[in-house]
Amino acid sequence: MEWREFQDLEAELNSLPAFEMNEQIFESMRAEIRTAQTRNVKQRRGRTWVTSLAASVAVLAVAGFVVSGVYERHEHHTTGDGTFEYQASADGLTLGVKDYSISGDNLTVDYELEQTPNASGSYKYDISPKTIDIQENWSSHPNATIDEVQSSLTSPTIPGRPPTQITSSQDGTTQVYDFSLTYVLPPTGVNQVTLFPYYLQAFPPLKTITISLPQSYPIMLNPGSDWAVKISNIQFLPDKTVVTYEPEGGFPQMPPIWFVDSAGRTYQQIAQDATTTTLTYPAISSTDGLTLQTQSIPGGGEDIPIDQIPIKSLEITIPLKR
Amino acid sequence: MYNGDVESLFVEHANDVYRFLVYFTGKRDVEDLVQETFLKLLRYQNSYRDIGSRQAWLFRVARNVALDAIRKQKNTVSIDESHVLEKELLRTVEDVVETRDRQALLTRSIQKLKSDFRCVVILRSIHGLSVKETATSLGWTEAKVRTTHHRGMKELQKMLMKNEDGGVDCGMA
Repeated sequence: MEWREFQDLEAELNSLPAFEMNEQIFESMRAEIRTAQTRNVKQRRGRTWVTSLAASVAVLAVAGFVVSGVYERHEHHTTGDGTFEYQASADGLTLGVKDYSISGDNLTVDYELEQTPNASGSYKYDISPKTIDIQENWSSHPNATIDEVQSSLTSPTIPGRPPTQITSSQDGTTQVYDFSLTYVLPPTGVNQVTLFPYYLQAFPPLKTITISLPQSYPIMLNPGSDWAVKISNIQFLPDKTVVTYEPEGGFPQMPPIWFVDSAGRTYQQIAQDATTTTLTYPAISSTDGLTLQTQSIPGGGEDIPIDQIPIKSLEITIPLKR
Repeated sequence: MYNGDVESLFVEHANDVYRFLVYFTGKRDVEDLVQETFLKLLRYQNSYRDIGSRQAWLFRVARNVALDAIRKQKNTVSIDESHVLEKELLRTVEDVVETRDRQALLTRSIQKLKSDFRCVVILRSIHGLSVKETATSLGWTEAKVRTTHHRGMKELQKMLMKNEDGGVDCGMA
């Protein structure tokens, strides 16, 4: 296909009608969603929802994802009575395949995932199936993958959809997810499928914001698109520097801030008073050329690059019996 | 920042999701699927934040909702009935595109693409999502998006040419 043809087709596709919903249906649906949202909020009462992008960023940044520790694999496969069980553990996570079934064009895998309270960090993971051990006609595509078409959570201890996100066991209990995923059945000839679990690790691109000091107060910081913090005062005292701030907008948290003097020395926060909105820094003798720095993070509508980190120890191969 | 206000998200993106579903399913009456998409968002909103763009996330959910619906439809329709259903599908698509024949042909050809091609062509070429957004939306790598998009466009072009040459009808009748 020539580049010109590609461009022409692209332009044609781009000019296809932009359908819109009937206004009446739109409004009635909007009302239903509002009702469902109100109900949902009530149901979630008592549960801590992640309200802080700052907190998420911090957790994501410190999570080390060490997966080379304890590793144990149990395999039990009995074809006679239909039971099937593979299990692998790594870093506080245990992934089990309890059963699989083939029906029509689909392969459904029944999983159980257990996360112990000491499993480190807050992370997401996904299960990506790959077809392997394929016969000659497919040997040129050894890395062919199969697509997930459906998921269901059969007996959750935690509401939600686990295959794409597992939060850490912050309440100190072991979390168990029992779920199944349905994939497109690989073509005839493929007799094994290997599951490649991986962590999804997001590192928002941070940008440093620099503000020259001293200047009149308040100083507004905008670390995120809907995140503003007002610094109402900075006191340069003989023994310490005290920053007083007021959070504004959706995020009540203060972003990390620090001072850099004209000689390039950095002054990091040494204390935060939990009862007030003040941050304490070491004494800064001269404010000549002093700057205040913080970092901006992307808002909800911006892209955050996501890396896939394979969890080798959790790979499980299912021999397909058709 | 997305703060759990699904109603606002609905107001902002309902028609994007609607448009995606019309092209993906080939049917105009996809309001139920739009609603299901946003209700799923309510149920799974915890998983939203780290996915990235909210539009990409919505398309991801919408695609899964559509695939579920198509599967259910397949499971409940016998072979003979499915033939009728395909004809019905074609009629509604043609009804939708009341413009030039070329656009009707293009829309029908999109329906004929296999699911992966269809999805990536709709997201990239009709909705104008970036490679990165499309990758996020489909849970693919950027390389896979580029390759699949190129192949999908090539396939689409092939179908259009066959039709223009009086060859095989790429519609479903």
